[in-house]
Amino acid sequence: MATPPTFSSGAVLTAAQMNSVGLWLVKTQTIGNAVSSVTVTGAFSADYDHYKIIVQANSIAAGGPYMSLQLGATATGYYWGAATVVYSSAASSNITVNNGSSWNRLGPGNTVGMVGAYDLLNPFKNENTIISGTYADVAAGSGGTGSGFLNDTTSYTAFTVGVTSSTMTGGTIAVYGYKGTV
Amino acid sequence: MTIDEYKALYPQDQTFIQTDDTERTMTDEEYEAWVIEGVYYSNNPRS
Repeated sequence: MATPPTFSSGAVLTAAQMNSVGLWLVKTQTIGNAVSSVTVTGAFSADYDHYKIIVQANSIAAGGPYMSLQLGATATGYYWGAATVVYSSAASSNITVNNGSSWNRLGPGNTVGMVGAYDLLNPFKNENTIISGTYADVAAGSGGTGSGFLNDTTSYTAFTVGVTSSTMTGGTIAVYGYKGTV
Repeated sequence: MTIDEYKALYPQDQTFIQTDDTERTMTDEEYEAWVIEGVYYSNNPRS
C-alpha cells in the first residue's frame, strides 16, 4: 500500500488503510450561548496517548480575554511559556504561566472570536501532560507558539476550555487522537 | 471596570457554565469567584 494510500471512487477501504489513519476525530462539542466555560467529558482514554484540541469560539461578548484550558478538576501546577513577538517591531512579548490554576494564557480572543490549536501529550497516561500550541493575538498584534506542562501524573478523561473574562457564544471544540503510539 | 459594572454586564442568571450539551447558571460562590477573575483580567489587558 502506498503512503499515503490512494483512493478511488467506490473502492473498498481495507482494515490496513483505515488503521493507518493517523488523526482520528474523537468528538466535537458545540459551544453554547454566553458560556464562561465548556467542559468536554470523555475526551481522553486508553485509545490514544496524544491528542489535538482545536477551539473555535465564534464570538466573545467583550474585551480580549485569554483562553484557559484545565484538565479534570485540577487547579494547580500548570506551566506555559510562549515566546511571542510584536508583529510590527519584532520586539519580544513573552507570555508565561508559572504554577497557575490552569493554562490561562492561551488564545487569546476578541469580539470576533477566539481560535487555537493545542496538542496534549499523555493526558490519560499517568505521566506529566505536555501542551504545545498557538498564541496569536489579533488585537495586540503579537504572536508566537508556546509549550508547557501540568505538574502531576493524574490520568484525565475531561478538560475545560474557558475565557479569563467575558463569555463565549457559538463555535466548536474538536478533539482528535493521534494514532501510532498506543 | 468595577465588580458592580462587571456584574451588570454579565448578570448571574444570564451567564452559564457548560458541560457537554448541558448548561447551568453558576452558584453564588462560583459567580463571585468568576467575577473577581473577570474584573482583574478586564483591568489588566494584554500588552
